[in-house]
Amino acid sequence: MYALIWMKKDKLSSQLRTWGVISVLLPALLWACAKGDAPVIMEMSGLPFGGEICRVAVLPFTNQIDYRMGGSVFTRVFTSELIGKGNYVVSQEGDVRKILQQMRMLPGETLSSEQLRALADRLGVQIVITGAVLEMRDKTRFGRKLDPSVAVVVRIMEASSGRTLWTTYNRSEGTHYRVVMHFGVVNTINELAKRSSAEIIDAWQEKGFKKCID
Amino acid sequence: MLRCIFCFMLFIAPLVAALAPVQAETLAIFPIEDLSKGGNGVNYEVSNYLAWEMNQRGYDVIADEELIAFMARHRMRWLGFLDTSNIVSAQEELGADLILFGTVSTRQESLSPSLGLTLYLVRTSDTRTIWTGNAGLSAQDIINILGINEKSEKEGLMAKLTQNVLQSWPEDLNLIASQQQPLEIAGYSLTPEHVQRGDEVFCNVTLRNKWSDEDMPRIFFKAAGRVYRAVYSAASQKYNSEWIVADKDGRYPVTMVVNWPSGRKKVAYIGSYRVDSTPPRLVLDLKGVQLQGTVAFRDKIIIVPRMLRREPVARWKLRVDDDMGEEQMSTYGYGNLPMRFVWNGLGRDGWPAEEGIYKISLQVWDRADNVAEAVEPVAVARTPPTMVLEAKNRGRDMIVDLSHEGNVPVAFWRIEMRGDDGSVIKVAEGEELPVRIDLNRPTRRTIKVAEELRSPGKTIKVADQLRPPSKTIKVAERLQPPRKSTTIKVAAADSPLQIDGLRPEDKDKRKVSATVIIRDILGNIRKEKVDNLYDYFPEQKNNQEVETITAPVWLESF
Repeated sequence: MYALIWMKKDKLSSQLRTWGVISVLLPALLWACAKGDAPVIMEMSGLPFGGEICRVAVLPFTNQIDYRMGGSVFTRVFTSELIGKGNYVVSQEGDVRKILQQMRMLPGETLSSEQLRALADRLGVQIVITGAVLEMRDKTRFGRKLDPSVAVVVRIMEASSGRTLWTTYNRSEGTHYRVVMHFGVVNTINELAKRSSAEIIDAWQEKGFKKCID
Repeated sequence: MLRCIFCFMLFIAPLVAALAPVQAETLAIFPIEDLSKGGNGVNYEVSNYLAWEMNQRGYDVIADEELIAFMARHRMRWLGFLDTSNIVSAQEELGADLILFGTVSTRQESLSPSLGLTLYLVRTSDTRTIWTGNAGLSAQDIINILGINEKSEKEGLMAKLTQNVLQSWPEDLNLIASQQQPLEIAGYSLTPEHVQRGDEVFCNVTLRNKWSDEDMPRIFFKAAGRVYRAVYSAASQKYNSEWIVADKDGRYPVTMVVNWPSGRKKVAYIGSYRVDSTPPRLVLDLKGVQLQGTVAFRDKIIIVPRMLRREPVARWKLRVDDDMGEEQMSTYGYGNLPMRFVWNGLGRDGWPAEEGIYKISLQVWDRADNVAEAVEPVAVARTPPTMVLEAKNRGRDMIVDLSHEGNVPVAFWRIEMRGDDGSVIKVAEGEELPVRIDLNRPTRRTIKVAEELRSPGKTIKVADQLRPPSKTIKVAERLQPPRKSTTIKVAAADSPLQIDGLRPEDKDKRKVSATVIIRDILGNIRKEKVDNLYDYFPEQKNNQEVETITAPVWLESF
């Protein structure tokens, strides 16, 4: 008899606990869906110099989608955010392109570790950032309304060894930034790329990629 | 009056000087790139607006014409980015303290006008980007309460976007260079890229940096653990060094070490070279017929080169020499070897090379100039097989023995024999020689008169054989015992009548012609026409030699 009552109590408490968890998680889940996912960072190895990095080179991002000049668009926006958010000394894009040209590398070609080391040495940088644009669109599928989305993968490579230290994936949509009704919705690729870049750099800085004090 | 003017100048001039900017920064605004128009797109609307806006803010903006001339002078074909040399040149030639450039990233008008703009501000003293601005704006972003005064066109969008971007423009720009001037390598050369042990490596570097005599650094090149001092050449403005390679096979990186008198040190990676002292390994496969250990051919031979250890080839040469060592054919090329070579058997004069043994040699040089050679002999054989024919009688039939002379095996033969009237008697063919062919000759009308001939002067009637059947043949004078003739001539007959003898030793001397074709395995063909096989009888050959006719033996008993 006591055992039966105890079982009923346990069942009841279990149900209450389940509903409690759902009632807490559901709004959180809805909020998370509305805000979009945070950047996913995979740390293969720690950053050199304890994360105190100033000199950075950004290689042109490869464009893996059919959005015209998508790689260049994201590279420019990301570099702009990197300078703005961390005061980093980013090598001029012209210098990077000139060295790649001297190495007879075509856009989108992967650098060997030796080439990466040579490039970093020539530019005098501590890390090299490269990446790929996996998704970029500014309209809905049938082009009836603006609905931008951007997905990128960004890699931090060590200049001295050429190995990948961190890999970050981030995907965002214009509606992720909705505040209420249509307020807050991002309608341009440029603005969305800016937000996405800012999220990635913020996440890096939280993980130990320190701002440059120079 | 003069006093009044002096007083005016004394009080007013400082006031004017105080109101004017003390030192306006010179700003170069490069044309803004427009990626929405492709890689070479330019947006003059934004460029002009920025020039006007910066002018309003008190900057000394360099004129467009001067800037375009500068870009043409420096062959700047791309907008949206600059390299260090462009920035330094802009400072030196245009006197620019700051450079503003940027990109219109997105621009779409089909659904709702949208623009994206990214701007970079570079300090020319240390080529550092000191400010960036970035924003995107769509017509849908401009939302007023109850939609009052909302614009759906792109009118004013660009100006609003530019203002948004410039919102974060710094109030006080720090024009003092905070970082040391970077080491700028204008160019370098490290040759050759592939060397053998004992070869010399040349390295030179051109630096864009200039130093005073007091601060002039010493420059070294470091390779395989050794350090080589670089010598500055004022004529070429390069730092040069060379050294002899004495290391084992492998890749060796080369770094440049810059040592300043202050103790500051900078190491920069230049490139690498590979030491390769091992020649490639090579064999030749000849696609032909093996004859007594040598590949033989008639028309052409296919030569397939095969590298036993795969490695890139710098150049190659194929040549064919005769047994005297004279070159009959040669060809050469650069880069990797062709899949195969073909020698069509022609000599250097363009005519087919004579029969004999030739030497095919292929030389291959790798990237470090190590040479490998493969040599193979090859035989040219163009003589067709020699036919050997012998015929003899066996009773009424004929036996034909066909064979050939020569070292090249036969691939095919054919013999076609015809009678004196042109009709085909026999056709035979095969793939091996020698061969014996039996020839059954067609029987002629034969008159059997043996018994009747025993009585001299007797008249016989050959009813079945002669036409008209009633014809009478006189054979008396031919059948005398001393005359051992095997043939009876019938004088009274309408036409000459040959009557075969009955004995097996008797010969059939009717004409048999033959056409013989023999082809060897190299494709050489012998075709001969024999007018009369009787000429190939051994007896006939003997007769031709002694010119005597022997009588048949059987007539004696007769």
